[in-house]
Amino acid sequence: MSVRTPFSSEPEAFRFLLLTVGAFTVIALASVLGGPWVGVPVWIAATGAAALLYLRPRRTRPIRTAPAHAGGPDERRILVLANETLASARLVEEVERAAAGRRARILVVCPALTSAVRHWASDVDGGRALAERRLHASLGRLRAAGFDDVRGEVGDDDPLQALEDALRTFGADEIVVATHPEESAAWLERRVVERARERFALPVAHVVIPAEGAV
Amino acid sequence: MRPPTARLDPQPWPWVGQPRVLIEHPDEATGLALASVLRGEGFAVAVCPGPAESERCPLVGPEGCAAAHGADVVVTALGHDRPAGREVLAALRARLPGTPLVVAADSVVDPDWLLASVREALAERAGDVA
Repeated sequence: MSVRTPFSSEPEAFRFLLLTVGAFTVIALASVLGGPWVGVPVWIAATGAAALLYLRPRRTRPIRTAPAHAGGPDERRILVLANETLASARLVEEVERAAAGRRARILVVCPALTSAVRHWASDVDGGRALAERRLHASLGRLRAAGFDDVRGEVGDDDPLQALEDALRTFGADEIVVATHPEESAAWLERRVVERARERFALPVAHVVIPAEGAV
Repeated sequence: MRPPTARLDPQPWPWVGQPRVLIEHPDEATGLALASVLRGEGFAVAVCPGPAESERCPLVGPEGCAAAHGADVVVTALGHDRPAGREVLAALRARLPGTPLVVAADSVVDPDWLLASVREALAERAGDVA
């Protein structure tokens, strides 16, 4: 996040100058037409508007990174972030699409999702146990669908950190994120797809697993 | 109970042991496509779309740019026709004199040319270091 800098470039500085001249013209007109005390609220309003315009935090354009492709040229590495159990045909279809007809090597990462309170208390044991259950079920589902090169691990309770940790060793070519519907997402799970797209220079596919697809 | 972990800001280059190429391209989709080509050849990549209008590139300012400073090669296709592109290019030359710079004439970048240029730049750098 950043704020807008009025002197970041010549056009921006000129725009700032024009705005300043315009604001003071309005203040002067108000003072002349309505008296000096009318100019004061106009000045306050103009200053407030300028502060809002320039001090409002703005999202900066992200720099995305990605590790080198790992493995042979005929291999497609797919990193699946399973916030929810992958008991969904839609997810299998998405992994098949990501494989693009090449030899697919799949790493499933299940983040140990916890509540905010447990996260701050570093109590992730329950989250890890649930994640391990999700992982075993997900690996079984993918193997049953015909993917033979599939492995998995339980990751950090922050899904984005779990992705980055996995990328360090796996060198994925595409990320597939399976989430709950937004209304039932865990707190660290929110905006995970958007944040992954902002951080990684890789295609990020999103599959929403409905409640009935969950285990 | 697991001990509390430190929550650090994401680092621009978390990938170690791979040559790192920063690609500056105003079109994010093209930047990602070029990154894919380089990744396939064993390079870790970072893709930066450059500063938006009314923004200043941190490389130009006192804060600097960790992605640029950590890169082994910088590829810039931000365009000489934009003041921001010229400003970034000047900052790259002034602040990173030891980092090879590949400058595309315009935003249309041939992947084969890119790959050859990056390899040549890395070879030259290795020669300089030796």
